[in-house]
Amino acid sequence: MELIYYRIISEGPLFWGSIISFLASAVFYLSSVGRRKYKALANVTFLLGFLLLTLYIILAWVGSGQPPFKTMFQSLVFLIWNVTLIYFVLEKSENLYFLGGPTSLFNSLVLVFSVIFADLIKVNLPPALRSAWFVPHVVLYFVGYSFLFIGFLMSVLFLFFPSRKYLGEKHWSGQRWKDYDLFSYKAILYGFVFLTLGLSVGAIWAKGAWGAFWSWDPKENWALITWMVYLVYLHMRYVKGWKGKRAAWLAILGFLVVAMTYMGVNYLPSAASALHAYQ
Amino acid sequence: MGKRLSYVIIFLLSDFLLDFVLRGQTSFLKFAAGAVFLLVFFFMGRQILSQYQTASILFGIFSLAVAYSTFLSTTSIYYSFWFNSLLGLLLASVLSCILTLKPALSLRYLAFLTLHGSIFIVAAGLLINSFWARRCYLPLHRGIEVNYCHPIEHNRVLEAKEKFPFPLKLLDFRVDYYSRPLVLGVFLRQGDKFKIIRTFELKKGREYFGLKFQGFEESEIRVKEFWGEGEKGRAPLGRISPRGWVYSRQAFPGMIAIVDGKERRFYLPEKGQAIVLPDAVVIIEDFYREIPGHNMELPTLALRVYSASGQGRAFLPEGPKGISLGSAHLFYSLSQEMPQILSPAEVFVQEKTVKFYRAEFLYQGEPVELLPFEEPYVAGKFAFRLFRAPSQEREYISIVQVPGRKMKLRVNHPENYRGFLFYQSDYNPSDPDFSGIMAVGEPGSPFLYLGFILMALGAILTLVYRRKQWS
Repeated sequence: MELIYYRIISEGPLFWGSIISFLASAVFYLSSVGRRKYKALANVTFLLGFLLLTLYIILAWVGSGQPPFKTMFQSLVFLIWNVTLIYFVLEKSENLYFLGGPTSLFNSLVLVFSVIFADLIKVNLPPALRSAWFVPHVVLYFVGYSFLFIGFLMSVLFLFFPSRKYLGEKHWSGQRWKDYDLFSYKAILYGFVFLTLGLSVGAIWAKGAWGAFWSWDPKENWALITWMVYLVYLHMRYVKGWKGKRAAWLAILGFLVVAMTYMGVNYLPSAASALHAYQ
Repeated sequence: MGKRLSYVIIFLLSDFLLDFVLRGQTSFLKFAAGAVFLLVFFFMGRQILSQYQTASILFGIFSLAVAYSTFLSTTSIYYSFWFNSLLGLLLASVLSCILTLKPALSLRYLAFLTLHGSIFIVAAGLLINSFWARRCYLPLHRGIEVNYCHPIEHNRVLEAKEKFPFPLKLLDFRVDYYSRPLVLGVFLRQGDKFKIIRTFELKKGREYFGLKFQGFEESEIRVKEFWGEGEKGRAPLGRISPRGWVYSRQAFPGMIAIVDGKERRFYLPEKGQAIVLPDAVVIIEDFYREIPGHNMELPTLALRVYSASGQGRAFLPEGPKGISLGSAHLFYSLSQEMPQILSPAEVFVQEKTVKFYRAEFLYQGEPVELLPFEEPYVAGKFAFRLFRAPSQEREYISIVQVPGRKMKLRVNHPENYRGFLFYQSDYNPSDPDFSGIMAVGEPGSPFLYLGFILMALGAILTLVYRRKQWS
């Protein structure tokens, strides 16, 4: 813990400032369930965390002269930035206020966790990543993952936290418990679209870098599995009318596969010789 | 029973069909047989295959198969009979599902058609490539013309040689590296071990504070200037040494820094570098650990010491050679035999009995410190250490001559010539005159590009349609 503390501190005030902001916003969001009292504070601290993280990423980009998406640490920070942005947009457009608490908490915990992978020495982009496709590919995937995370979170709330307890019919936010399912579906559809874009861009890039659109690399394989799980989710929803619990369980399974694709793949025996294994 | 039997038949037929298609066995007889089986296959199996449950089950099985394959260290599974059969069956099922839908002039159908149709354009591209694609590897040596290649099958380069349609000659090859800045590492003491917290690249004129940690506030480093590697020219240390017994054959990659208000000179040795002394030569054999990683201990050096004869030009492996005896023993011997190495001072005790000592050299009468042996600024539970960043490759560049033109090949920048795309594939670090080039001729590629573009477009259209529906 001591090492993690010092690594957090040594990343500078923008980094630890955003962690503290997200933690504060989680407290305010959770305290505001059922009452309006802390909503403004929750929003302000959430936005502050986002701004600090934005500055941190910009400075890292400018300082190193290359997009900071290369290492596990950098990608986790960028993932949180995306989750924050997308949640904020959704909160405003879809009135998803009740997700603020879990999202803020998730953000701060992942940022703390990320320092385990802190870049102890500057890692430069290897030749294969020095491409114009690098940024769009990564950004599309991370936006997709962020939407899928929101979808996952709503499915968890739907299944494990009977929302009536927190958000009654007369709750000021005007949301009813059944909304979880619908919002989950919407977020997953957005996520799936971004996954598809990321997959297409990745395949075209792979042709330019390695001479093949598809190489059956472990990361590619798990990205394909992720895509297929959400493909089945959407088709079951459209064609077979899957809703509620069945759909929520599938959404949770989908996000577990996302987690495997994002992090778990690195620990597979085949990862050492994989094309995507840069770090 | 009838249904089950149909499943078995469909599976067996698709196996046969895909086995010959995807393995590229292109004899007319097999092709005709495949076409017949294809018709029978659709006739018998379409009703079952066109059900969404079937497609979902196949997606599930295929996903499990792909997931299973990632736990293996071999890639041969992707070219196996059963894997390709499963993939073919899945595609057939998806196609059957699509064919059950009736076309209509609407945004919904357009989105549907674009997204789903793209899968089949991709599949068509793959099918064309399975028949007519050519991939091979050309091992090029500088100045030597090559007109053969090794075929690549299932992502493996085969030993067999094939004639290539035209000759290629490697005119030049080089590897570009990122610069290697000096780095300041900050460590945290945990028991007997020091764990790295983070590092800072040192830049000229910039100040590095002690991060305001407990017991660390007072330390400050300011880099005054760098020596060697372009900043201050390449000044061999020995030629300008007033005493004549400190010498380096190589450039002096060091720096002058202000540490806690006091100017200090640092010298950073490189692996393989020799420091020539009047009666011995110290060669830096290796670093204990050159690249700092997680939970890393403070690195040390392994030194090899030779006696010099003939004014330091011939180095014989004599004298104290204690390479792996540990720094303490080695430097004890050195200090006894070589007065220019001043009395070693213990600066740090690591786990077990290994001790680290500081060797002091002189430059124009002033002390110069070897960085890995410099006194770590141990303050409370923290320590500083200076080292050079590890070498990282930036670009591989081959200049290749083909009839009528020169190609510059880099990773991510293939060149097109006579129906082939040429890729910078690999190189040999121990042979600077070698470069591995991959040649790919894939007539199905336009389909694949089109398929992936349509897939992206279809995804966007689907979102547009759904948003309209929601609103």
